[in-house]
Parts: sequence; structure tokens; C-alpha cells
Amino acid sequence: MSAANPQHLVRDFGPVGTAIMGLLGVVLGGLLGWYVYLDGLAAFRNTYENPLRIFLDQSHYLNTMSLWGLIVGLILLLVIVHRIWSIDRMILFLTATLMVTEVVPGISSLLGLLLLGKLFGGVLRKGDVHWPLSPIGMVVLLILAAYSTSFLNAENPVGVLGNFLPRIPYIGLALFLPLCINTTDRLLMLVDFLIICAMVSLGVEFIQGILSAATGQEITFAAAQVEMFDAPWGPTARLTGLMAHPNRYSNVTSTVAVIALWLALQPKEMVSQRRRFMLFTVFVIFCFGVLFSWSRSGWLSLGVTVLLLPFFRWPHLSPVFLMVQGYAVFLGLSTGAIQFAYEYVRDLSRGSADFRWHITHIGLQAFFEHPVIGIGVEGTKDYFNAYELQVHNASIQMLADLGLVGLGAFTILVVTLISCLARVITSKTADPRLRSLAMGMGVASLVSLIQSFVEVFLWYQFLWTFIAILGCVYIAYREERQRQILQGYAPELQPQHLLSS
Amino acid sequence: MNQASTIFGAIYRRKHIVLLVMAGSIGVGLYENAVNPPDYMVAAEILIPEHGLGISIDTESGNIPDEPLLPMQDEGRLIGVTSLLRSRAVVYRVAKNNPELDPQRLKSNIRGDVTKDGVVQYTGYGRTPEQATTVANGAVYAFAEVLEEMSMDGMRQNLETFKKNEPKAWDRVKEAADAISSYLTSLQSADLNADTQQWLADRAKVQEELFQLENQFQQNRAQRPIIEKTLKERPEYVTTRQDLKMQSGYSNALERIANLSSELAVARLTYKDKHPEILRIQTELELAQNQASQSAELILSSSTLTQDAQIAALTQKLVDMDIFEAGYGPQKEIFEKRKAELDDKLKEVPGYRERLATLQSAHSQATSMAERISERRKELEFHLEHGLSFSFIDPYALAVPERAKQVPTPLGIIMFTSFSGLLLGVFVALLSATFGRMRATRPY
Repeated sequence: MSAANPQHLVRDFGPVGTAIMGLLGVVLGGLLGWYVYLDGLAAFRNTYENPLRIFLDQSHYLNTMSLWGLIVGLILLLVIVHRIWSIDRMILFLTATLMVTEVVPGISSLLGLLLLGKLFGGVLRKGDVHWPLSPIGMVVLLILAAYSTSFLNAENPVGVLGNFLPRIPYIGLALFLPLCINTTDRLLMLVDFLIICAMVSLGVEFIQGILSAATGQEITFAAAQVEMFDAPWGPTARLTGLMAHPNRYSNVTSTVAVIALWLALQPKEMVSQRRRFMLFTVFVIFCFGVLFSWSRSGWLSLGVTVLLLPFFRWPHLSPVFLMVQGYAVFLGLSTGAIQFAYEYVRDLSRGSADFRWHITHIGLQAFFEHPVIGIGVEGTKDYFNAYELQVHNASIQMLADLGLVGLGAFTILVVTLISCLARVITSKTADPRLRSLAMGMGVASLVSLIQSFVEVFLWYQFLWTFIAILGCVYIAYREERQRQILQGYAPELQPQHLLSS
Repeated sequence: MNQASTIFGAIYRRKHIVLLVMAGSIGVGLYENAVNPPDYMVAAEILIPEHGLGISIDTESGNIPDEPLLPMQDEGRLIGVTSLLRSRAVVYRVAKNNPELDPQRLKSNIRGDVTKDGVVQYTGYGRTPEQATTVANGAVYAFAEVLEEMSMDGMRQNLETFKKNEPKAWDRVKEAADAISSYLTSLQSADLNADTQQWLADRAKVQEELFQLENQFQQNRAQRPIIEKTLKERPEYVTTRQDLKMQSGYSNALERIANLSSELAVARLTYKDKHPEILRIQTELELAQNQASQSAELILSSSTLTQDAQIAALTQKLVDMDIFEAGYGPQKEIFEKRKAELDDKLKEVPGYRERLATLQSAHSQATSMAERISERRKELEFHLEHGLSFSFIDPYALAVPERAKQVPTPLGIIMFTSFSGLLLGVFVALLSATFGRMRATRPY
């Protein structure tokens, strides 16, 4: 691109590039025209669904206007935020928001746009951009390839895109997130944002609880069939915060709570007294948030992870913890307290536990009958299934959906994740803050691991964002290591951009 | 590779690998599609009414009395539509009805589902549209057959049970009625309620009599000393009439006075007051007057004495009291005895009633159960005689070869091979570049 010859800008793409750009423009224009045409056709329905009908009752193009208004507003917002904030912080904030929010649409797409903007903006402005290639990101390519086997199982392959395309932005984060998150400081900032966003979600949960109690109706973001349960004291709302399902809300909140607890338990040289107090408070508040989601799997996963956490934090005291916890378990069993608690929690909603086993059998049957590529993502909903629900077990869901191909891809993913984390944790040269964070996030991932046995977690945006962040932890370590090598052995050859980052 | 340029460069430098993998993927996909003809899939539907005549597998248990005489229905309830869909019974039935189909592949070629609309749908897979249609329709018919047989089998078993238990149930009704009858006989009562009312009335009456008796007795006790005292103080007889008359001397005196007065008057005409004659007459007159005055009182000529009526009444009352007191003890004893008898009977009434209610409840329950069993038996006989259909197969909802679709579809193959080929190509390119970089930096 030459600023000296602005009249030749179009030719910068070359004749083929210009033709392709023109063709793309025509196709995009055609698609937009088609959308407007469909919007006009569906005007009658849209006028009933769109809240703008109050002001523009006669217009047939409300959705078009709404969409453009949204896009323009979003661009203006981004411009304003970009002026007062950096794009990296916006990415960090959106990543944290994406993890705790399901009910706000388009966050993953917006995040993807920002990442692509950073990538191409950097390339265009500086000629290059720092983009560490994450091993997790590479494995995600295999996961997406495995996912694409669903096209083979589908009666209508285009229909599969309806689920596939919206998932690509957050599954692909593992590849693109290292563009922004590649240092310990940024990871720590992300954790702070994550805690803030989770607190916002908790505030929404609190409002939901107040409104539900005041009106006697379940006011949450959950679907009708999961928004309440019959507690012994009467119908009770299952609060969801900014998530669309109480179990997923409990998963997110539990994970953040465990990270907060881990950070609070860091040695005193790594965390101030004030911050430690704040993190403890956050942990306790999050525990209440998990409690009022009335998610039994969330309670279980949080409880078990918190019990296991001391073994990782103070491994040299493991025998003591083992003895204390063993004695507590013995006391609980001998007094019947554990049985009582189990039966009480089980009977809160026994039916919702029973159907899981039926669907699990369906998932296993799907895998054994179609072992190579499974029956396609979400295929179990139409496979001998009267419940219209997916398999509530991530491993079996993966086997049923993607078969051995998926098993291979996921095995590589898990092995890569564990080896990456292990390298950071066992490294003697890594930043202690990064090692601690890696350890904390590894422990926090136990929450999802436990809950994934009874929940539909496989294609859940929090999980993939979390995986991407785990990849970023390794990237930060690797970057640091390279910096150390360069500083130790050839500081004069160290690239300037690495030093500045 | 930490720079965008190196990543893009690695991919660009290995663009042939990417393109090769992608082209290879698409080529292999198309080749496979051409060499190995794809499967075809087609769906057929069957409807199952939620409440099939009130005796479907879901609602049968609700119609059967919950009694130990009857078989448990829990096992039957467990067999839901989902289990039936997945059951091997349907697959075996399809294989049996369609010997031309490969039984080894049949299980994986049949896929059942309950759609969001609640319709049972079977999707059949086959090498040809016709084969897929045969599988789908075969599965629908097999499902209907198995469902019907299963339901009818349950009904037949229930009918047999009803037939065996019906006489027993009616025997129980008779036993219960006999128990009521014999109990009432032992109570010597045809109607416990009426008898109880009578006993209560009798007891109230006895209680009233006792009260009156005691009241009278106490009254007598209080009155007796007064009466006796009154009787003691009053004469038995009282003068009821007296006749009085003048004395004879008085009359003579009065006559002499009259004579003397006349003589005096005459004498005074003759004599002076001091005349001895007059004095004599006056003296005699005074004597006569004295005599008259002395004998002026009336004398009782006769009197009548009769018995005092009050005394008689009091005496009579006293006699009555004596008579009453003589009968008081035995009377009281009789009343007390009667009262005790009635109390004894009434004390047992709650027990009688409870026992009787128990017997009547048992009788009522036995009757109800027997009637229901009889009704169910008749209903089941009727249904089994006339035949039942537990599902509905709409001919237009059955599979036809024209509706069969190829799986994977050509579009699906293209999408899969191109997409996965691109991803794998990029992966291989990056991996290759990574290995190349490792080889360049490590002492291999």
C-alpha cells in the first residue's frame, strides 16, 4: 500500500484481488438485499415481536432498522470505548463477559471481530503483529474438523451450520486469544475482570431472587422447564444470573469462586492483606450465589473442589488433610449425616436426576451403533429420545456426537492441556504468579470436570473460553521463557516488540 | 511462530499442503460417494393416543384397584414408549416380517424418536430408497404390533386375574355381611341405633323417676316432724255446737221483781216511802233483784263434739308417708338396678358402633372392590372380544421411496470434506512449520 499514490489504491489488490473484492461486495450486497426482502415479507410477524412496533407500527422493515441501529450504535460505542480504553482491555473485558454471560447475544462474535481487528489492524498498520501460536489453538482445529463430521450425518447439512457457525467464534478463541492474552499481567487482569463480571451476574441473580420472591413468579433467564423446582417449602425459582441455565450459572460461579479462593490462599508475599480479604469475601458471596441457583451438580462440584483445593495448595500437608477429611467422612457416615444430606438433596427433585440415566443409555447406544463418527452434534435429541434433551454427560455426549473421531480429537486436546499446564506448574523459572494462576485454574477446572458428568457442557461457551485461557497461560509462560532466554543469552538480539509487550 | 507473519507465512509457504489436503479430502469424499453408494433415509410416523381407551400401558394402573389380590403394575409402567422404541423386540419383529433385510445391519439402520409434537417417528436407513422405506414402515408396523401385543398381553393377564379373583371378592362381600349380621344377633338388636335411642329414653325416664322418688322421700322426711308435732298438740275432737238457756230461778226472780215492783208502785200510792210496807217491799225487791242478778247467766243446755278435719288430713298424710316410706327402698332399688342395666348397655354402645362401623366398612370396601373387579372384567372381556388398537397409522404418514433422502447428502459431503480438509490442511501446515522450526533450533 503506497500513501504516495492514492490514485492507485484500488490496484493494490491487483486485478484478481479487485475482482474478488468486487464479487464479495456484490454477494454481500445481494445478501443484505435478500435479508431486507425477507424482513419485509415477514413484516407481519416482526411487528408483533419487535418492541419498536410501538413507535413504528406501520413499518415493514423494523428488524432491518433495528439491526442497522444496533450495528451503528455498536460501532459508535466501540469507537468511544477505544478512545478512552485500549483494544486489549476491551478484549479482556469481553472475554470475561463472554464467560459469565449467555443471555446477551453476539458477545463472542464481537470478541471475534475485535480480535480480528487487532490482528489485521496490526498487520495493516505495522506490517506484523505479535500472535503466539497456541498448541491448544492448533488442537482446536482438529476439534472443529471432528465437529464437521456432523455434516455427514445431517439430513439437511445447511441446518448444521445453524449450530456450528455461532460456536466457531468461541471455540476458535483458543487460536486467537493469545493475540491479546500472552503475559502474566494480562492474565491477572483477565481474572480481575472475570471476578467483576461474575459479581455483576451475581447482582442480576440477587435482583432475580428479590423479584421472584416479591411477585411469586420465577423471574429468571431459564427456560420454563428448569426455572423452578418443587422444594419442600413450595415452588422455588432457580436463579441464573446472566446465564440461561441454573446449572451452567452454578458452574461459572463455582469456577470463579474457586479461582478467587485459590488467589486468596496465596502466600503473603503474593497477595496483600486487603486483597486477600476481598477475595475471601468474593468467594463467600459466590458460594451463596451457587446455593441459590439450586443446582445440585453445582453444589457437588463446588463442594468437592473446595475440599480438594488444600491438597494442591499445601501438598506437603496432604496426609493431614486426608486424615481430617477422612475422619469427617467417617463421622458423617457413622452419624448418618451424609446419608441424610444425600437423600435430602436427591429428593429435592428426583425426577430430574432419573432422566439423565435414560439419556446416558441412549448416548451409549448411539456410540456403539455408530462408533466411527457418531450421530452428529445434538443428534441424540432425535435418537430414540422422548425427552428432547441432549446427553447429560460430556464424555458420552462427545462419543455419541462425534464417535471415535471426536474421541481422538478430544484426547489430544486433554493431553495437550494437561501437558501445557504441567509444564507451567513444574517450571522452576516461571513467574510465581503465573505458576500460582496455572495451578488455581487447573484446580478450578475440576468444577467443570465434575459437573460435566451430569450436565450438557460439551459445546458450552464458558468451557471453550476457559480452555482458551488455559492455552494462554501456557503462552504467557512460553513468552516469558523466550524472554528469559533472550535476556540471558543474547539480550542484544532481543526484538523490541517483545520487550515492550 | 509468534508473529502473524510467521503463521500466515507458514500457511502460505505450505499452501500446497493445505490445498492438497483439502483437495484430497474432497476427492476422497466424492470418490467414496461414487464407489460406495450412500445410504438412503426416510421417516415413517405412528401416533399413540395419550389415553388409549383408558387401558393403555400408561393408564391401566389407574383403573385397577390397588389391592394385594391384583398384580403389581409397576413393571408395566416402567415400559414407556422410549424403552419400547429402543427395544430389540421391534428390531426382531422387523427382521422376522422382512426376511430380505440384513438382520446384522438392521439395528443400526432403524432409528426411532419421539418428535417435539409427540409423534413416534421411525427413520429407516437402507442402500436403496425402497430398502429404507421397507425398514421405516416395517419398524412402524412392528412397533404397533409389539405395543398392541404388550398391551393386550397385559390386559389378558389382568382378565385372568380378575376372573380368578372375582368369586373371591364376592365371597368376601358375603363374609362381611355375615359378620355384621352375626354381630347384631349377638347384641340382640336388629337396629343398634334405634335400640340405643330407646335405651337413652328409658334411662332418662328412670332417672326422672328416681329423682321424683328421692324428692318425695326428702319432702316426707322434712314434713314428718311438723305433722307429728301438730298432731300431738291438737285435740283429736273439737266442739262444733253449743245450746244455751236461761235458769229457772232467774225467771222466778224476774217475776217476783215484777210483782214487787207493781206492789211497790201500788204501795207508794198509799204509803210514804218510809212506810214499813214500802220498806218491806223495797227490801224484798232488792232481794229479788239480787237473786235475779245472781241467776242471770245462761247455762249450757247441750254441746256437739266432732273430729278435727285437719287432724284427719294430717293423720292421713302421715299414713301416706308411712306407706310411701315403706315402698321407698324397694322402689329405689328397682330404679337403680334398671339404671345400671341401661348404663351398662349404653357404655358399650361406642364399642358396638365402632365394631359395627368396622364391619360395615369392610363390607362396603369388599363390595366396592368386587363391583369394580366385575366391571373391569366385563370391560376387558368386551374390549378383548371386540379388539383394540393402541396406535394409529396414517397411510399418508408412512414412508415412501419418493421421500427418501440420501445420507450423507452430496452437499454434506462437500461441506464436510472441504471444511475438514481446510482445517486439517492448516493444521498440517502449521504442524509442519512447527516441526521445521524445532528442527532448526534443536540439536536433532
